[in-house]
Amino acid sequence: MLARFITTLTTTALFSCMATAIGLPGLAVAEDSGPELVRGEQLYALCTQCHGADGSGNQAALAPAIAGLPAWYVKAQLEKFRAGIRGLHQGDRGGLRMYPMSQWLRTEEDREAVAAYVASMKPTDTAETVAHSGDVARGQGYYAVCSACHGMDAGGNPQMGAPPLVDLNDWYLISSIEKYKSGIRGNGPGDTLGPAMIGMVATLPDDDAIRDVVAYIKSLKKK
Amino acid sequence: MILNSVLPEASTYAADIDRLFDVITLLVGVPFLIASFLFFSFIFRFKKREGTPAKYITGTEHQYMKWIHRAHVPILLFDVIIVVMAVNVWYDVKQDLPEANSTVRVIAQQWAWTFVHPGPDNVLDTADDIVTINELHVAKDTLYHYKLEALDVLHDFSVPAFRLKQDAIPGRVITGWFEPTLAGEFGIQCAEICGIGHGLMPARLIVEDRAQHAAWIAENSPLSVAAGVEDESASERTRLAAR
Ligand code: HEC
Ligand code: HEC
Ligand SMILES: [Cu+2]
Repeated sequence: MLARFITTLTTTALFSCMATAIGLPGLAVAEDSGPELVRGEQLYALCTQCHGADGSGNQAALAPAIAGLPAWYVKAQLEKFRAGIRGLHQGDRGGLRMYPMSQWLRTEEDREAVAAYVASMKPTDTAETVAHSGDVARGQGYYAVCSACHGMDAGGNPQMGAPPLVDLNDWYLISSIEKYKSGIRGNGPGDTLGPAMIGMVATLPDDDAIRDVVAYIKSLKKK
Repeated sequence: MILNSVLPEASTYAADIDRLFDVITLLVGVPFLIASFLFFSFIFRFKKREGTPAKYITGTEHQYMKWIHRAHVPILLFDVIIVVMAVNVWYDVKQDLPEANSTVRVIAQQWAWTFVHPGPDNVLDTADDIVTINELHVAKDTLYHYKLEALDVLHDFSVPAFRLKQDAIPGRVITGWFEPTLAGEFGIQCAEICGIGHGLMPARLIVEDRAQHAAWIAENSPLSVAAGVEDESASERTRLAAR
């Protein structure tokens, strides 16, 4: 009887000590990343089915890599999807999948939180998936136009609203450029930045040119 | 009686389906209540009592069996009534294809509905077709055929106000019909689990009277839109995909 009482007492004491020891650094981490990131991580669970736990995307689900995209761009796109400015087009298979997902994020705080979390993820190594890629040298020529907004290093330019392109998947770069070309993307009601992109992709005359510029964009990553 | 108290009947066959629903509810519900009443009253009536020993009976004697045999008669009779009525309604809704005044194409995909309305020429797959997402416009008292397609996985075109439900199967074009009888705005939903966005693919059905519908068609046809007669009031959510 007494023995059991003492065992219980020591176990309880031991557990309280361990809890304190584990609890303190845990708290420190949460404070470090801020409540927004904690909320963002919770919300991101909704996105993992398609974009992956590490944000590396999944081509079979048509979902691009998004890890490390800047928060302002992620938030802007979530709002475009939500309003049906992006994605709500009969020819946009990927967009029609993302459109309902954006309806999950009901408040501005939630959209900001998940965007902050996506931005905090490390960009993944987006492997080459396109069977025969384009010509980097010719692509560099085409990219001269793009660099005005997307930057020489394709690192993006928030002033222009232009996202970084280096960490995007090659297949997604191709499909996005094709969507701009056919007016499936960038043409939604009230889209202010999209129409500019439609004008820009007109400088890529054919499929080869698209592959070339994508090959060049991907080559910037390796350096 | 039961369904239409919560959901309006907006198609010609909605009332037939509701009647069938009522008949089945009555034929099954009333005997269920009687049987439940007997079951529980016997449990209380013949509960354990001091001085009354329990008796074991096999229940095979005629005296006991007749209560089961007698119940079989209404069960078979009700079955026949339900089957005859159901086959009649089923034939009318699903197997018969009355001549159409107009045809719409309905395309399901993860996770949206695309509707292709014939334009002013009332012929599908011509340049004046009106393509909308998540919004179907039809005219009242007009018989429609729908051509239902799925682009990726199984979906189900479900219009509760019409009492219409039809699976959409990739690779097949399924033809069916409906005739709206009530103007108004109703819901369309997907009734077949089709992935993570299944619950997020609702669409709206807008039934207008013929004149209003003709005006909508005239305003939204890509040909007239190109000529500059754009519809300012077009809902923001639904964008005319065939710009
Ligand atoms: C059902 C699959 C699916 C889910 C779940 C999903 N997405 Fe997407 N997402 C997509 C697809 C497909 C695209 C590509 C759209 C296109 O091709 O234009 C996309 C695109 C995006 C983009 C645009 C990327 C770019 O470079 O422009 C962002 C940002 C994004 N998703 C964020 C999210 C967030 C945040 C969540 C979780 C709340 C989420 N997604 C959940 C499928 C999904
Ligand atoms: C005038 C500035 C400008 C120029 C020049 C420009 N872009 Fe863009 N680009 C944008 C903006 C702004 C967006 C984001 C649009 C939005 O918010 O929907 C964008 C988006 C994109 C996207 C989609 C990225 C994603 O994550 O979904 C791709 C791909 C792209 N641009 C490629 C190009 C290429 C290739 C060129 C050169 C041919 C080019 N852009 C030239 C401004 C520009
Ligand atoms: Cu569905």
